Amino acid sequence: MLIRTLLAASVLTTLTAAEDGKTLYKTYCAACHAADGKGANNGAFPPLAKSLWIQGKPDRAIQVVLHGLTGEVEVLGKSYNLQMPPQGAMLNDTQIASILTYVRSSWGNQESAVTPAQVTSARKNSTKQKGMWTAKNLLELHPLPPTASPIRNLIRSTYVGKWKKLPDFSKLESVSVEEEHKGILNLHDIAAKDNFGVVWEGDLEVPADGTYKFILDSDDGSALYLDGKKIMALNSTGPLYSRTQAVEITLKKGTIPIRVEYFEASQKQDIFLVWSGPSIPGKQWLSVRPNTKRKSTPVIDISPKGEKSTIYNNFIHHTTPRAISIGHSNGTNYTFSTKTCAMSILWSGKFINAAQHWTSRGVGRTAPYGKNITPLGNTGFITKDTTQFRGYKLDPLRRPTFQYTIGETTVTDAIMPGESPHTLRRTITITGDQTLPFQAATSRQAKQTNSSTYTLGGKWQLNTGNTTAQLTKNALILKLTPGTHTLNYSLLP
Amino acid sequence: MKRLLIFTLAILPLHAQIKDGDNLPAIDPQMAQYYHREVIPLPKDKIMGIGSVALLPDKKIAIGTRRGEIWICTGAYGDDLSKVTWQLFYEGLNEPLGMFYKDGWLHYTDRGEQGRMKDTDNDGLADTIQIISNAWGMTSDYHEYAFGSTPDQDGNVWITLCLTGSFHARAPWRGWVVRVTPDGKMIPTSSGVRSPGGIGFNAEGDTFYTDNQGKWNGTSCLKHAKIGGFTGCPVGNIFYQDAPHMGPRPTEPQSGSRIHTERQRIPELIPPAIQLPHGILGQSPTAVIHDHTQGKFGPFTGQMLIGEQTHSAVQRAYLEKVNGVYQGAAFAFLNGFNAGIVPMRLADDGTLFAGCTNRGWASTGEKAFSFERVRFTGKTPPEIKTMSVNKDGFTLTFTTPMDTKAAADLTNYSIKTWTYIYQEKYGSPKVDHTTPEITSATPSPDGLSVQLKVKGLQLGHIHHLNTKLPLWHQDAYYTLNEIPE
Repeated sequence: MLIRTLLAASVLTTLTAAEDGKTLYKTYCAACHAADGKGANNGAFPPLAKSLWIQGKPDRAIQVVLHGLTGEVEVLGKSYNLQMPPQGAMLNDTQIASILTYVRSSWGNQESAVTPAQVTSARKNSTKQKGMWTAKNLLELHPLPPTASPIRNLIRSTYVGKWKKLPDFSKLESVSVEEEHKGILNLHDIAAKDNFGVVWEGDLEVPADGTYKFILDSDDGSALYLDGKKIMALNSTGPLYSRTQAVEITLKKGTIPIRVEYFEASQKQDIFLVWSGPSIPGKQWLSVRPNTKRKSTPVIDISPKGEKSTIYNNFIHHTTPRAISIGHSNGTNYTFSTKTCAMSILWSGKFINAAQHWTSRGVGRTAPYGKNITPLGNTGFITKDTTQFRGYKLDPLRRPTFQYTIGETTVTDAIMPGESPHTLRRTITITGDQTLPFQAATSRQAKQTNSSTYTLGGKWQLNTGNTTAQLTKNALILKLTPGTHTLNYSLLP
Repeated sequence: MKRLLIFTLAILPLHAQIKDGDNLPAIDPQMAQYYHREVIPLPKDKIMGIGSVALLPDKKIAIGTRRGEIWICTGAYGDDLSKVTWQLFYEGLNEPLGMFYKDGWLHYTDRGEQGRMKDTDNDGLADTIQIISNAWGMTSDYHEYAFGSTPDQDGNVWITLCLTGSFHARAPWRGWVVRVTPDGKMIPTSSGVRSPGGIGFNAEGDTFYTDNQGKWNGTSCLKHAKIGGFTGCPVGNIFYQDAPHMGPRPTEPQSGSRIHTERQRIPELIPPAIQLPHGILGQSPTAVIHDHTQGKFGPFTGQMLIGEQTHSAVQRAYLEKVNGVYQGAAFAFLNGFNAGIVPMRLADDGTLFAGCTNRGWASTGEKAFSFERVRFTGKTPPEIKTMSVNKDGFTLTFTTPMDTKAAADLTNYSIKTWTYIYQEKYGSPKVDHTTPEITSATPSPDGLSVQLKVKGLQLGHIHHLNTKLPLWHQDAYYTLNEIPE
């Protein structure tokens, strides 16, 4: 009787803890992770439901709550780059235990309760952790639990041969046959680096009736067969992520034969196969994850359409934090540093992929999206006076003429598209009576090709026209007298 | 001719579309009686996370998007919101988080600069952009936001500069409030900022900004950016060396202490005017405005309205100055917005405009972005209008008369207090809990106020008053920095 009462009491305690956890979770966590644990805003924030991060020992999750998490993380096959603020200084050990107990027992999660003592000891053991965790550092200490592969009896047969397309493996003799005990397609322990082929065969356990999505990619070719039928193939040579294929297929619960064929011609070798569907939390890897990571950022191409130019103002590589980028309709793009008042990058083709800055929090600098990207280094007027950006005027085609001052001297700088594609016609006007030295490029980049022409970074040509120019040991210096100067930039053929 | 044609197309206004389900019901069923919230339709197929709002002449409104576009809205005051039209005015700013109209120019504050723009040839597009100041530093960190105010009485724009990554001062004046004079001089004005969400003025013209819970901020708060003051987060204090006009660098606060304790050691330390208890009254405060409409927006003239991103809400705050220090009470107010609020503007006619976004920071309003307006219905909500401190307790005034018998009943009131640890660590638990005793409740004969005598007021604490009187909101959170003589 006593035992029963004790048992009842302990069940009650657990329930109460979970109950409090729910309230606390709603107050402190649900705004981002959502009341249903699926991540707020249709999964714009990381889900906790069925997340591997929640499973296994609670230490990993306790550390995230205590110290926060920053940088890129992957949850259920999706990448996030947000910031989980540390809660350890705000929530006490009992509250953290209640929240995690709730999270670990809700939305399909079936993990053990977390005790305040576990949080207390985790706190003690991590006093050296000053800032937020990064996924890399935290997972070194508390790795994600391994997931059991749904492929059983996986056999790998290796072949040798030189192919540009998938061969008929049935007519070839394998050089070795091995079991893949982990049930995961793996190329990493194959000694050959070029000119070989592999066939994997096993039994795929389908957990429930429904539609499953398979994504296949490889370097070089590959094909997926389910139940003897070819589902998809990459029947050519090429690197990863150049030919990714995805197929949705309806499967019945049970076990079906799976067969994957693969060949490697030369250079890198890799295969990736993932699936998702009913009863699979997120995406599940059926291959070892490739080392090379795909940049999964979506594309928001804001290259100019029509005659108008496009202005972009956010953080770009190879220039100062303050910089305006201009994409002209003739496929010529440049960045103008509004800190140093200088053209700092030239490139051709596509202008900017704004996705990095226009989705999620917009972390980091982005690279120009086009070709022939040429950072120009320190360009602009060489002066001891203060250079101050003053603004710009836009013409009807949204092309800016920049205005800046150097001490008492006013400069206007119009970097307009030239007549032909991939050319710029730049007009610099100095008002005042000063003649100022102007660095057009560093000497590392500039090579003189004619009396008034120079190549820039081997990709562009600068024609300095009538302006006095001198290629010194350090730089290509122009002598800009009061009045107007025209410089012509063009992409080398 | 071709050019001209393209040009004409560009200025044709886009007709906005109302989609089904845009007008979600407010979470608080009582709100609709007193305040009418409506969703203003946005241009179709545009991503419009809103970071700034400016009121323009002729009942037009400008909004700045986080993608750096500026759009002009016509019809946002109208009876029929399906007639709202939008026109693109400019594209190419770096997350503008402050905007206002003055003398024909649209002024803006974005990450890199305080500037102004104008359409000089009347084609509907801004063509002249002038930089007024870009004298603060940045390091290409997305968190280095700059929130700008409307102009103060002298025409200065106040700008609050977030720490690098919201933790560090890796470029000049990160963690400071600066003001930019009309002729472009930037004056570092007060230190102590962590991660702000908005900046504005109270009715007296003093400057306040919101700062979010985190390092050296036990909970989110409304802070008074007093000239020469230090508002609590010492990370940016390294720049005192470049601000001789500010005097010597304040003594470093002791991590783990309390604000009230540290005030005795650090004379420059200005305590938060209003502490907003984390999770209870919001989680990410943003816009700061005050009600200047003399009753057109309800019975709260002169009070502060604070935007709230995570909870997609608006809080209300009554401020008073005691012994020269701002403090006061915060109340829950409006809620149910479709996404987290960042900027707000209150028009002279009593229309509140709220710009919403939840990109990168989730909100209870689940839309990615929204533009909304709120108007007073004319029915006065029964509320605690003001809560002010006396030597021996608090005086509450009400917007509508209370039954004097109920208002005199001590069992209708309770007060609990707590504070937060002032520490380098991120946030703080509620600590130092006390329960003061309410010894008497004396209502005025008209039932419009009640004087509570309280034994055990706690300096530096939030005093959470809960009342059972029939009010729309029965909780008030008073931040007690000073007790009057």
